[in-house]
Formats: sequence, structure tokens, C-alpha cells
Amino acid sequence: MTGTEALRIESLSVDLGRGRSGRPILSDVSMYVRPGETVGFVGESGSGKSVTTRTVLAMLPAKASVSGRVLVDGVDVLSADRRRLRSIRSGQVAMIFQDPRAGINPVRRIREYLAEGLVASGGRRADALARCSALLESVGIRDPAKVLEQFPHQLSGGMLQRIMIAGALASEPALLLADEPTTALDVTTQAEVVSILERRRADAGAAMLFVTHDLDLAAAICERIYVMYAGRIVEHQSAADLFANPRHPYTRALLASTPRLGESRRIEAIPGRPLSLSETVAGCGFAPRCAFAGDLCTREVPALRRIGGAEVACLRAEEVAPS
Amino acid sequence: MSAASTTAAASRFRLRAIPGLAGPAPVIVSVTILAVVVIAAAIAPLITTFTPDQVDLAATLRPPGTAGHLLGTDSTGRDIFSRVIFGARVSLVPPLLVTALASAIGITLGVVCGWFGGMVDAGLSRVVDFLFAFPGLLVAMLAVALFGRGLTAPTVGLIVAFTPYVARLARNLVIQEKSRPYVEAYRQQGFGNHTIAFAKVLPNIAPTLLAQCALGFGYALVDLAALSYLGLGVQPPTADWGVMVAEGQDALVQGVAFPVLFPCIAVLLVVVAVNIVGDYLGDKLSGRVAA
Amino acid sequence: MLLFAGKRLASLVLTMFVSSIVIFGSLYLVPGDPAVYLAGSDKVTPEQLDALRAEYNLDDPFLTRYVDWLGGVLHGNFGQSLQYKESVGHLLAGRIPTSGLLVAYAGVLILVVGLTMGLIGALNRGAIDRAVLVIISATIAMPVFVSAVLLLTVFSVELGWFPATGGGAGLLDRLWHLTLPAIALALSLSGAVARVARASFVDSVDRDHVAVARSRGIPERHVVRRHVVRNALGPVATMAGLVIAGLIVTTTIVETAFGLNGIGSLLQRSVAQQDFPVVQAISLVVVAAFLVCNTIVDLLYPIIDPRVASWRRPA
Repeated sequence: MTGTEALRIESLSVDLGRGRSGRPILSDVSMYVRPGETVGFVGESGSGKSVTTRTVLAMLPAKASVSGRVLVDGVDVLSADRRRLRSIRSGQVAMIFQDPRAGINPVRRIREYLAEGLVASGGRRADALARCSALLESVGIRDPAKVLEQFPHQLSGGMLQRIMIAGALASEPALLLADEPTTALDVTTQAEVVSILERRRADAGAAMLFVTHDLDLAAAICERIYVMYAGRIVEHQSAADLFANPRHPYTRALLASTPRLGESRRIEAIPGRPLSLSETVAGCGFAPRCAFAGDLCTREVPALRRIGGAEVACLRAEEVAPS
Repeated sequence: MSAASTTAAASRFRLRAIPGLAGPAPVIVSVTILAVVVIAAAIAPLITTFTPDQVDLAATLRPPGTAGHLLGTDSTGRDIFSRVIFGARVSLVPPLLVTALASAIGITLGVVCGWFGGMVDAGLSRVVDFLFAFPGLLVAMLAVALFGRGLTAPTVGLIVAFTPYVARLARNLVIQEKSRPYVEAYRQQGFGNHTIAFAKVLPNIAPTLLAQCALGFGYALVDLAALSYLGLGVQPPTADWGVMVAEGQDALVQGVAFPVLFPCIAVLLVVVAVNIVGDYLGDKLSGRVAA
Repeated sequence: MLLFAGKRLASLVLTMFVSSIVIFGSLYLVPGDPAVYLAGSDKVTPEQLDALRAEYNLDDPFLTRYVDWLGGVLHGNFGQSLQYKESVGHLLAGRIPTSGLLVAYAGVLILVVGLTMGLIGALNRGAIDRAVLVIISATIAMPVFVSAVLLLTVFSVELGWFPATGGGAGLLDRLWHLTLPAIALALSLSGAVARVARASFVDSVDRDHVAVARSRGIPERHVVRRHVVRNALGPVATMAGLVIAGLIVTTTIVETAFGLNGIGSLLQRSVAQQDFPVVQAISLVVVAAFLVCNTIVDLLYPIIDPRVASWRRPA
């Protein structure tokens, strides 16, 4: 199996160390993304999605201790040397960040932003400059010559996110990491940016790990979905099954808390609040907020186990969703 | 001058001088050093065995520690310890005067400008902007060129040069403070304009101003000592740290360093200590960052 | 952009003009007869005073004299030195190379040392940064005359590596003679630049676009140069402008300490001798240099930070 996947994460744990957090920010996270596949990665803010995604590029919090393996096309990025890491970052894996306005250097022109990435992935500067305009056209920017000479503050957020998408796909990466790519955008431009992203990804044949807190959005574009809570993967199944038959109480609660058009049911907020980094719990991290929680839940950490076509980390999964 | 360059000029006096050393231990050490220097200067005749200008041509350039000369003697046989201690008086009082007067004038102007705004503010701000183009040392030297050498001219010159910095800071602080709800609350209670400005607002911005005064004192001390070193301020044979460095330089050329080193150390100790205390005041007392 | 530059230049000319009035007029702040002041002593004969009055047109109204003087200054004629009985312009011209070289030398040192220290601190948080902060604090507290004397003590007297006095002849020898004075200036003044640079670099290192640049596999040296240093230049340029503008006055101290024959030591001697025409001329040069430096920084600012160009205008 190993080597055929675009991304394989094996029992990844990240700990900031004593005094900085009460529990590991990631515990025993495992996941995979096959070539060309789109995988959703869902959870509340602070659950550890972004840390996981950044770890794929070996961008770790300072002084974090890490265990496990993160294989990109079979190569462990956590033990890769500088040169190897740079070539992974500039060629094989590209990341689209949440806030394009913060992510694109405000004092440099768009042309420099795009050309810099192309040069880093091994292009010649003259060729890179010549390709920039085609890159912008590929993400639906109408006046590329003008935009290339502009600075980020002269452009809208949606425009900048398209530029970031263009830049990310320029090196034809095998794996695209999209970290909440539409969260910082206007609602009106979100759908447009997502459709450009999905179209360009499909054209390039890249695999994508799509990080979001929006289950509906994830279901719309992803084949499989991982759900994360408090630094652990709590559920994993195909997008269709996840919606039809969510198995973890947290996933159920997440679905129940999302308003849906054409449905007249009560929207149920999840009681309590997410675990903060300083909090330690024995047992299941979701137990304090869980309607199904029993005695054992507060004592034993549930392992991810297979039930039907799904993987669930819940001791009482059978009672929650009898299938 | 443009807005950016003048605020930058003003912030030169506002930026903290000691970025990493503002913890309590260095502050305690600094306060102790300053206290010792001030007390020693005050009781100078009691703790020195020689008068500062007692020449002894039979005992020149004695190394530190010989025959009752704790820090040795200079090239005319004067006791360096007495000169450093008596020199503290001459070296510290004028900068104190500069700081006090520049602050008094600057704060008054700044509060008036900031509080009343309008034409007064526009006019005075223009003058203040203009004065930023004249470095303190230049104003002090112009004053000496006009009124002659000694302490008076450079002291007056530095007051003129430093006032704009204080005025600018006070003005910005008052403008910031004016928009706070408590000012409106006092107005509702029927307090008069002047009462609110000077009795209610001024005490609130005083800590930040005080911290700046401490740093300003350091600048004044250094500039005045430099002028004395140049032979334009305090005149020999009066003991002053700047004068001592200048006189010691003759011995230095002959290869004897200590007559120059002790006054240098005195200046450094006081300036570092004052900067640390100033930064601490700025951090702990003002609590919030001024615009 | 052009309008912005035009307004800045107009403001420069206006400020320069007002400064010239103040510097020229300051002579009349001195109580008593300006002729007696210019003579430099009370023991002058009425005939000598009359001669001075005639030479400086002291009987003309203030405005006439100012306009005459300004006209002369604009033609490079700063009047006669009382002390040297020589034209001030000539005195200055002979000394400008030494001072100019010293200011340039020290300016380069200050920028290089200041930026390097700031960068080292900002990129190595922890023990190295703490050490950098202590060094910065020490240099900020170090008066120029103290660093000059300490350098003389160590490198000229104790070690004998550098000459203690004199300006040297020929470019290399001159640079050799100017090395200690330039280091003395840099020792005291680079701390101010380093402090601002460090703060500015620290701010820009933590920005998202730096993480993004790293995530794109851009070589670290490019990340530092194009994303960290490039973005932090604004405050650094402002501070560097102030420090370098101030150098021209500060050279007075090192030129005197190291026995260099430049504008600064001329200012010191002229102030001591109350040689007012010379003091007047050098003051004008100092203020002009200060204003020009600030104007250059202001004009560079929209290039350093393109976001600024759209809203920034001269006050």
C-alpha cells in the first residue's frame, strides 16, 4: 500500500510540552489520501486540523515534539533533509491558506508572488515571468496583465484567493492542501472560489486534502471525510455514508447543529464548548458534551475501530447509530 | 516636515531605550546606583579627603589605591575620586534642570494644544515640527556661540531643543485621553474645561510623561557632558565628568588610561541606570501604549 | 505620486527658508551691540566697530541684511570668518571631504551593524536574542565621547593598531585614519538602528506571508531577504534617516577627540571663539542635511511600502 498514496499519515502525535499545553495537540492521527482523490477534513477551530495539515509540509510549532510518520509519495517529511523538504514543498505538495490577504506579501507585486513560486519549483526566471499571465487566466482572472502589476491591497479577497490557487497549482503538485480556503472570504465569492479550486484541481489531477469546518461543503466536493475532535480522528467514512449514517455522537451533533434549507426541524447547538489546549481529560475528549456518554467513556480513550464501512472512535457507537 | 518624519522624530524619545533589561532585578540595582550617586554628590565634602581642585604636582598620575587616592590622581595631582564625586553635582544638576523646565513648558504647551485643538494646535504644532530639524547638540552649540561658554547657554539651548519632544508626546496623549468616557462623565458633572484638562486628565498621562522625562534626562546628561568635553560647557578647572574626560585625554596619549576611565564609567553607570528605570516606569506605570 | 513629491520638496524649501531666518536672526538675541559681539571683545576702538558695522552692513534694516546674506549664501558666499580672516566658503570646502567621508563611512557601519544585529536577534529568539538586546542597550547608553575615548585607549594607546590623531593623506590612508572615529560613531549610534530593526524584523518574521513563502519551498535566504527584511524596511529607513542626519553634528565630538580637521572640529573651534559667520554657515549645513535626509526617506517611503502611497500626504 505504502508508496501508492499521495499522502499517508501514520500515528502522528504532536506535543507542545509541559507548561504550554495540558494535552498533546495531536494524538495518534492516521489518515491517507489516494492520488487524484479529494478528502475532507472536518472539525471545529482548535481541533488540530491546521496543525495536521501544516505537519504535511513539516511546518511545526516551535519546540514541538513529534512522533509518527508523514509520508508524501512514500517519503517521510518529518525525517527529510532540507533539500528534500524544499523540493517537496516547492513541487510535490502545495498549500492554500485560509487568509490570502495575510498570506501574500503586501509589499510585492502579484507577478513577483507567482514568479517566485515558479522559480522555486525549478523554473527559469524569464520563463516564470512569461507563464504568470496564463496562470491568472486559468483561475478566471480577466485582465491578467493589469493584475500582475498590482499589489495585494489593490485586490479583493476573492481575487487574492484565486491568485493563491493559481500559484499553488502552478508547480503541478500531486497533493494540494486546502486549509479553510474560503473561510476568510465574502459569502458571495465563496462558491465561486470553491468551484475554481475544484475545477483546477481536477484539471491538474492532483489529490486534495480539504480542511473545513463546514460539513456540507466537505460533502459536496469530497469522496471521503475525516472528522477530528480535540486532536484525534473520531470518525472516517465516505461522504455519502457520513451524511446518511453518522456514527460518532460528535458528527451527529455537528450535522444537527447545521441549519438546512427546506427542513423544518430544530437546530440543536452542541452543549458545552470544545476542549481548550490546557484541559486534560481522562477518557473520551467529547464525553463532557456527549448525550450518550456513560461511565466508561470518562475513563477509557476509545480507539478508532471499524464498523461496517466506517471507522469510529466511540465506545458506544453501536448504540448511537444502530445500522 | 511630513507627518511620518516628525512622529518618527518624536518617537525617538518615546521608544524604550533598554529593550531587554526591564525586569525587577536590574531596576533595583539601577535605583540603588542612582541613590548612591545622588547621596554621594550631596554629602561630597564628608566622604572625600581632598578638595576636587587641590593640585599636587608632586603626586601626578598616581595609580588607583595609592596614598589615600582611591581612584588615583590626574596629571596635575588632583584626587580623581573627589573630582568624580564633586563632578556628579555639576554633571547631574544641569540635566535635571533641563528635564524639569523642558517638561514643564512642553507639558503645558502639549496639554493646551491637545485639549483645545484648532488654530492654537495647528500653529504650535507647526513650530514644534520646525524645531525637530534642529538637533539638541546644534542648538546648544548655537547658544554657546551667542552667549559664550559655560553652563548657562547650553542648558538654555537644550531646554529649547527638548521642549518640542515633550510637547508632542503630551499633545498626543491628551488627544488620546480626550476621547475616553470618563472625560465626558466629568463634563456631565459640571467640571470646567481647565479643571478636567489639568486636574483630571494630566494625572492619568503623567506616568508615561514621567518615563519619558527619565529618558530625556539621560539625553541631557550625555549632551551636556559632550559639550563640556568639547570645552564649550563647564570650564576647567571645575570638576565635571565631561571636563575630566577631556583633561584625561592628555594623560591617555602618554599611555595612562585611568584618569579618563573613571569619569567615563560614571557617565555610563548613570545613563544605563536612568534608561533602565525610565523603561520600567514606561512599562509598569503607564499600563497602556501611547499613540 | 508626482504631487506627493512636489509637496514634500516645497515643504523642504519652506522649512529651509524659515530655518535660515532663525539662524541668521539668532545673532540679534544677544543683548547689546552686535558689532561688539562680532569683534569678540569689549576692548575695541570705535573705529574698529565702525569698520565692522560697515563690513556687515549692521546699520541697514534687518530685512535688508537678511536678504543680502541669503543672496550671498545662495551664491556660495557665506561671509568672512572672524577667526581665520578667510572666506567661510573656502574654510568649509577644505574640510568637507574629511567630514563627508567620515559621515559616509560611519553611516555604512551603522546601517550594516544595526541591521545585522537586528536580524540576528529577530531570527534567533532565545539566548542569542537576549544577548543582542543587552548589546543594543549598552550601545544606546554609550555617549559618543565615551566610545571615542575608550577606542583611543584600547586601539591607539594600548595596542597601537590605529593612529590617534590626524586625517591622513590619500584615500586609503584617510580611511585608515577615519576607521576608529567611524567605529566610535557606530558604537554609540548603531544601537538605535538595531533596536528599531530588531522590533521591525520580529514583527515581520511572525507574519503569515513568511510562513506561506516557506511552505512554497522558497529558499530560506530569499525568504529572509524578500519577505522578512524587505517588509521591515519602513521603520528602519525612518530611524536610519534620523541617525545619519544627526551624524553631521555628532562628528563634532569625534573629530575633536581624534584631532581630525573637518566641519565638526571647525564648528567646535568656531563656537569656542564665537566666530559667528562660520557657526551660522555650519548650522545651515546641518539643518539642510537633516531636512534633506528626512525628505529622501519620505520620498522613498511609498516605494518601501506601496500601501502607504495612496493615503499618505505631507502635513
